[in-house]
Amino acid sequence: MSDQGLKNLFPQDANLNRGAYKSMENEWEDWTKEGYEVRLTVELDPPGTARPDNIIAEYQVFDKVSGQMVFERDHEFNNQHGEAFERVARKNMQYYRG
Amino acid sequence: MNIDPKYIQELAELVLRCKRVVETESWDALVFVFDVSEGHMANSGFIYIGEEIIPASARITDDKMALSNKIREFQNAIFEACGHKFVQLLIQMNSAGKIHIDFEFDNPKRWNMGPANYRAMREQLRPVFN
Repeated sequence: MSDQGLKNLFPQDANLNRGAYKSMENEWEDWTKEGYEVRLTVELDPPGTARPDNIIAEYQVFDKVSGQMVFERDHEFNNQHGEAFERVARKNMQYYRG
Repeated sequence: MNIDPKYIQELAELVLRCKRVVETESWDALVFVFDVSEGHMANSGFIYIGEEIIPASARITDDKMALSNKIREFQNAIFEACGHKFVQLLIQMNSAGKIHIDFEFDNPKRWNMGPANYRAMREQLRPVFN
């Protein structure tokens, strides 16, 4: 997964952008490097606001060989300092294969 | 600990409105584990249809914050009752309308579905109601 460009731009707390949210993006990238397909939706709450209060990320991970969804996760970040995120480590992604 | 049973009912009703639950026909049982910390909430779970197990997460399409707001409200009610905030919340339901809710105060990984135990947890978390 490459940089998502303009569609991924919205005002974030600096620590969130460099920390928890970035970790989640890195996890998505690692899933794809491991040969999985990631389908994701990121929504802002409230919708249409200049600076969202919450960021909602839902993603599914698919095994390209079997076509089966192997993992689904929903994250909700308040757009503030001090977020935490525990990601799936790349070395562990092999365990999700069917 | 005295907990108002309305929370159980309200949480169950909200889970039943979640997209994955609504769009999965003929499910037998489901489980969702919520990781709850300051400023962040995450969830994963499974929907059981016979021997089939489908990975899932919980979110209501047309009211995105409803379930997480109710979980925060429930967390605060527990805190007022006992002085502790849970860090994980387990919700198990079956299609007959039975619900089991449990929460963990100390170990934030008690019901984690990490890669090492993912397959085991699919079975361990399968709701069993006597």
